[in-house]
Amino acid sequence: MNEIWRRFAKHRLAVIGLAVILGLVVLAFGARRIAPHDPIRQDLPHALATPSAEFPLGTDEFGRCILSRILFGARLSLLVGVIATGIGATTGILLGLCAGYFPRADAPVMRCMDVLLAFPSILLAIAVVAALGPSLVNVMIAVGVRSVPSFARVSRSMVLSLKELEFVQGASALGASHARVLFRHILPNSVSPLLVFSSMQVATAILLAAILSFLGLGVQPPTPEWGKMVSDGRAYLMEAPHVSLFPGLAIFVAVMGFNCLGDGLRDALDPRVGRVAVE
Amino acid sequence: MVAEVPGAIGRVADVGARVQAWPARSAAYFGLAVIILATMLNFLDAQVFGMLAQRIKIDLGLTDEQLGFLIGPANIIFYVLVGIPLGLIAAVRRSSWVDYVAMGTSLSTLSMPIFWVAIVAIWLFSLQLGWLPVSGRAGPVWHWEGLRHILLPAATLATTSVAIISRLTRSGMLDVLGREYVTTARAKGVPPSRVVGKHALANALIPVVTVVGLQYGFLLGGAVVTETIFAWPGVGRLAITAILQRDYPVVQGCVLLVAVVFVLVNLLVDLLYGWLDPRIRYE
Repeated sequence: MNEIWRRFAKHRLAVIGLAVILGLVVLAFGARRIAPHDPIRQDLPHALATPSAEFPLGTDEFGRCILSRILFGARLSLLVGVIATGIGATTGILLGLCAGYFPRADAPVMRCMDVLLAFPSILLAIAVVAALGPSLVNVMIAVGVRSVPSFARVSRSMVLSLKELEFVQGASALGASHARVLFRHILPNSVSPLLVFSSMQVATAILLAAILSFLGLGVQPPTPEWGKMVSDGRAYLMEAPHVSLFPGLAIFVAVMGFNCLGDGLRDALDPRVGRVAVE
Repeated sequence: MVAEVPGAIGRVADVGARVQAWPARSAAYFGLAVIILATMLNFLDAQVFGMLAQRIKIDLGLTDEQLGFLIGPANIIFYVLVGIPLGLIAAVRRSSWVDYVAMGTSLSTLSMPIFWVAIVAIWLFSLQLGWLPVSGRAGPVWHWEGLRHILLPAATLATTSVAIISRLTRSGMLDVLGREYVTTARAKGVPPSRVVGKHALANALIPVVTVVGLQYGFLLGGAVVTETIFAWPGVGRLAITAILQRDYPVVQGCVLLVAVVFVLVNLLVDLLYGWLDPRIRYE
């Protein structure tokens, strides 16, 4: 553990990433205390105000304080990113474990995953939200579904290489049940690549969720959401570019944090794992 | 899969029945039946394909050459022309400021939401500087006006790919530059530009070319957003409108079109391998 921490701490970007994420978490949880204004209450006389002492990042078209909205939006984005990845990871890993361990399940499961992969991820997510209706939970599901095949692939390849090793063969020779072999022997040994992959996936999930709400398919107004805020500001790009600029910057910082964290985790946990392509 | 969207077809059919002045809807309904049948029989005959093409054109009033794939090739040219040289310079001048700036930029680009990049680009180049038009399409790209219109959407769409390509080129080049044959070439007095440009680059390019091909597949995803923002009449925007309007034949047509182009591009990539590395042969 110390060794891992030491290698992680050497990676400067990773430490910055971790700090950024921790900072965002604190801001998100403390939003109610920190935020200077109510994120939803409209204040039309102050509409589209430029950044000032009262409104540090200016106001949007309804006079709502952008800083407060960004702080409250942080909760949503982090939540969606983490839960969506959780949904994708649990489903994908279970499917991948089965596909890798039981040869008869391999082809059916992986071909289904290939079908999911064949859809461009944004179209897939849009289709899922269009099917279920736009809401917070459905966005999480839609974004989660997208990462199921990738998780299945990663975990399947881990099983395939691990199940030939002596300790796994030994465990089954000693009469351990399939479930025991899978969850006590194989899964704990594939944690590090899956962890690295997950942290990168959180970044992609936040981006995708932002895209969905940008297109109007995410959380519905007046709930503050970063992607939606950028989208709303589009109409006022000429006179008040800050309305779009700042929420986008927030998305960028959060995603960058998770990407850097993933980079560092990879170097610290498992130097052998290759670069996971970011979509 | 989109056909499973609940409440869609029934409701749309109801509406279609009530609103008589919506003849296209019945065609869509018929098209869906044909496609389900065709999928079941596991073939898609020429007539179905012809009908899809017709539907796509009816929907947005497009003609064949306008079908939006222009943005695709424009985009590939963009990311190849920017991404590869960027990675190359970063690798040759390793650990210099050029390297740090190039790699820092590409890492940050990977973390930016594409719609935000588009909006910032519009704000900067169209509204502040006034160099390029805000949105829309104007004539073919080989005309000045058309080129000006495609520049911003294509560049925006390419940002992610440029970042990935330049990172790959850099790591590929670093790997190759350390090989013995490069040292040999240098030792026998081959000028450095030739060592980098010919000996090293050709070998570093193979993984890059693979990804250039694969990136084309992810392109549609980005295209959905970019085309929506820039009001570009392309397949991405067509696909999202079709999904939202439950226009199944059009959705199927779009996915099919993208799949076909994706396969063709990757075939081209396979052929490129042979040209880059003569040792690779196809029987």
